[in-house]
Amino acid sequence: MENIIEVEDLTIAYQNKPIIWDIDLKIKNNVILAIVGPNGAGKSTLIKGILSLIPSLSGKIEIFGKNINKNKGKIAYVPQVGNVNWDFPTTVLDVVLMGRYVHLGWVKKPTKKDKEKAMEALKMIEMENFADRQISQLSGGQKQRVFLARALVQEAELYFLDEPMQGIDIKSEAIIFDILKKMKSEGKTIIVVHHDLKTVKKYFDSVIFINKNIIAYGDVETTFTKENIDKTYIGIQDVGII
Amino acid sequence: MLELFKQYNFLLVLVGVTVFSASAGAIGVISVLRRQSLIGDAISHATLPGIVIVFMLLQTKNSFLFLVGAIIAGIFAYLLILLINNNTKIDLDTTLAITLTFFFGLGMMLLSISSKSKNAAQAGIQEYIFGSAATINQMDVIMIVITSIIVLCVYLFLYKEIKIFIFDELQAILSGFEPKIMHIIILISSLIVISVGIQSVGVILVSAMLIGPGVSALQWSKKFHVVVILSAIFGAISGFTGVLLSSYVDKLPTGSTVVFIMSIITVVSILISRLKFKKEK
Ligand SMILES: Nc1ncnc2c1ncn2[C@@H]1O[C@H](COP(=O)(O)OP(=O)(O)OP(=O)(O)O)[C@@H](O)[C@H]1O
Ligand SMILES: [Mg+2]
Repeated sequence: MENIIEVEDLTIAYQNKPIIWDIDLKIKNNVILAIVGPNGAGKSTLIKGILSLIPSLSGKIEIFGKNINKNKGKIAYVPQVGNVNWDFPTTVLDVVLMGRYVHLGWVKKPTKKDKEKAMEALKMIEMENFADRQISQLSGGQKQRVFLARALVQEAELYFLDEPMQGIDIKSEAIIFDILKKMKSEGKTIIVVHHDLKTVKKYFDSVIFINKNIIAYGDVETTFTKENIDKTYIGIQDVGII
Repeated sequence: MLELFKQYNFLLVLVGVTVFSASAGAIGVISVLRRQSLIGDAISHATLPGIVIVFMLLQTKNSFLFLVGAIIAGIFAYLLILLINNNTKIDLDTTLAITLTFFFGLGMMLLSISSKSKNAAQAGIQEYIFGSAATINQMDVIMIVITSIIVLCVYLFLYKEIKIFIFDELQAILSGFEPKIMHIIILISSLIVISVGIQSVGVILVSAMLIGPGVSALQWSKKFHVVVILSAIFGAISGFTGVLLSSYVDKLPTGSTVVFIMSIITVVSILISRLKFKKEK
């Protein structure tokens, strides 16, 4: 199918200091795409910019050929774990249920059906026994899986995940990638900010190299080269690959 | 004891302060969890000039118009905080301190001008600084009850929206719950509670009633609805016992007593939860 995301000339600044600029990007349907780049390169900023979660200086963004506001419910976003309030007094099941809110709208309460869907998602991430667990008592990997479950119950078409492998154990990593693979086979599009260059070839079919602007973008086969890595991580010793 | 309960005025004070403290506890949980308790403090101090200006215009006490004045001044303070925060590099704490002192200073200045008139003493306008529960009348109690019902409705109808707003604001945006709307609803709810409460506990101490119950409740439960209910209960207990105690002990001011009991509950809650935490380890 044609492009589902089209970004033209996107520039984002925090307090007048540009963070990423001149971003042009077209993303095809049904890919599993890695966004890589050093710390502070603007990976999270790019995702938030595409989702219009932060204001931009310039740029035109279309998702599914429409403005983002017309796509509510079709897009799921998993933030970097640190970006939410883990001290909030609630349970794992409750957080997963939040993924259903977009389909409920204002005032309406989650139904039994919604709860069943949330439990199913918990089963997928192998955490059904944690439904009543306090979210403050989860390990890093479990928090990531709970977020993934919340994205799953949203039943979206397009998924953005910001470093889902951050601070994660091997078991959680395997579970998450199995699910991402399955989602791709169901026709979803998955965009992942990824830190571990060693596993890019293993898990992804496309890759974006970013450092303030896009350095390279294409199929992993042709684009994930030493040259592009060097260009992106310029001046950074030992990026831990090859 | 029973004698006291038969007095209509005493009952008004008892009901008014108790119900106000409960609703302050309930709505205050949100800013405690959003780690924005100090915004409530700045805004409650900022209500003083609003009340004094309304008094200067009317030269008499009118609880409803005082409420309107307090809300308008509170919104002004909030907008000022946003304006400074979004357009300068001054950090939030400093901004809050500036706003608080500016509005409170303005309020005190206007107060000392207006208190030269005879009406000022009659209206008990000075009492708004430290509070004077004894001046609560029937109209005040009705307004306290109405604001409590509003707070209750906010929780009943927007429970899930409040949860997602506190836990993950970006997810709230993506789910179609505009945070601006949530900010406004929570701000207005807090402001009306603050405004009906300052008469009993005063401008300076009212924010303690928003923060204390929430902090205490969070020590006892890890379920949001339990925390909200507990917070209201802790507020109510301090209000109730504070009014009783101050009516028995001569010269004990009601507002400060209520806040003092609230502080004891908070300290005890924190101590007990620390002890439990140590045992579990
Ligand atoms: N809210 C903010 N206000 C000001 N500057 C910010 C803000 N958020 C991010 N930045 C800055 O923007 C730059 C890019 O941040 P971003 O979070 O997009 O990087 P990233 O590539 O996701 O990094 P990481 O790998 O550490 O997650 C950084 O220099 C950061 O300091
Ligand atoms: Mg990031």
